[in-house]
Amino acid sequence: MTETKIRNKGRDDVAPIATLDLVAAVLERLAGRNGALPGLGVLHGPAGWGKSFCANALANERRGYYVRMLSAWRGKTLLVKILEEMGVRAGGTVPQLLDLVAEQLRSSRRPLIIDEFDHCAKSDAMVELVRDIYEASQSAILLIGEEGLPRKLERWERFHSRVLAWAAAQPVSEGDAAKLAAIYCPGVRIAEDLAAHLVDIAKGSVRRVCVNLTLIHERCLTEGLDEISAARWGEQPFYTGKSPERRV
Amino acid sequence: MAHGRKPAHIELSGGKGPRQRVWDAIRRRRGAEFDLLDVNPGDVPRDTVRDYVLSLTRAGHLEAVGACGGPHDRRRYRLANDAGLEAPRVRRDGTPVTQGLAQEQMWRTLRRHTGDINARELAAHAGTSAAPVSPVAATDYLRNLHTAGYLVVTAEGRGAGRGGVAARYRLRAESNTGARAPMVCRSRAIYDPNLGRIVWHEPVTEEDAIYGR
Repeated sequence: MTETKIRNKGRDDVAPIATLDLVAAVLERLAGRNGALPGLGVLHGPAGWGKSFCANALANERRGYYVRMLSAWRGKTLLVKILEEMGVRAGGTVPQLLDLVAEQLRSSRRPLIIDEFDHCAKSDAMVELVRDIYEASQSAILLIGEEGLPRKLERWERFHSRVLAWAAAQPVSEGDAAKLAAIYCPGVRIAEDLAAHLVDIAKGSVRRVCVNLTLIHERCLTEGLDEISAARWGEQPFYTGKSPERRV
Repeated sequence: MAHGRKPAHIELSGGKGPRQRVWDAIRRRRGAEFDLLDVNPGDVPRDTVRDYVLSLTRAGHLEAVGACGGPHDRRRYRLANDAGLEAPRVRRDGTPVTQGLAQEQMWRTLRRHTGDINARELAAHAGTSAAPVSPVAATDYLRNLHTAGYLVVTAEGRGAGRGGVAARYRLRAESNTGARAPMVCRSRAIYDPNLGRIVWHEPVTEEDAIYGR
């Protein structure tokens, strides 16, 4: 066991997701070249465009506190969930919980990441609460949501004007596809024409690239192939995100 | 505090080691001076408290008050740079300890991930510049968590090396015990700090006592 470990070390490593172009570009947009996160940042983009890749990479790099909003949550739930992420089980009134959250954000200097923020951007109370967290902690907070999130937030002028960095999710690049192939389709050399086709039909969505790489991997294993080109792949359909066509 | 109120004191829930309890005691004395005896929770060896206070001072979290020199026990300290609830993980020379970060990152990734995952994907998503995660380390961690009952296998692995298929796992909803990562300890046991207990250890038999291991 130990011997294999030593032999494999270094040779078999995969590139961290944070090194993907689409993640690095967003992190740089948010954090700037000096690496300091701004107060309030918003990351927005269509489903499947790697927003959660970015969120996870940021949470891991900065030991961030990550919560994913649900539509049923009210202010208190959000605060309790954030505290749980901080490793604290606490009760109390909303202002008391807010104090605890702000205090820990400020002293730990770890960012807060709220995913699916669209659910917050429906109610005045929730938006105001997140602004309170920001005002009381003066810490880095990243909000993540769908493409329409910046427009939705315009309704709250005082909130909107406090956002220091707006980052749009980035489309998947061919360089990204090559790195993803090492993760989702290991041991198979994918010809350039097929890789380019994958990026083309993905229409920017990194999720589609991953799903199709898995598809390629499965077929190559079944057929015992260690390389594959567009010609070899043939007509077998790829996942494009469209609903299936009618079959007659 | 911005509003001039004294903040309520909060502490980590779950299991706590001696250093965490010393740190809690230090934070309870924010804004005041203290000596080693003040921050000793009572059951922690004096050397442990002294070492940790020294490490924190070198890391810049504490500052010594008054003249230097004289025995450590008499020296007084003050919290200079708070780091929040969690006891800073620092070595004696004040540098940060990175041990354990990889497991923390893998656990965070597993909790956040929807759907199933294999070791390679986990390594890629959990690795950072400060604490890279190799597929071998991810395989180990997944296997250990599975042994301790945290994960369900969604697709069995088969074969090995090239042409082999890695097993896929998913975190059980009820096993999402909390933010702190279950740690695989050197003694082949898994400790869950959220629950504050050992959740799995290597089976022992009487022969281990007779023949050693």
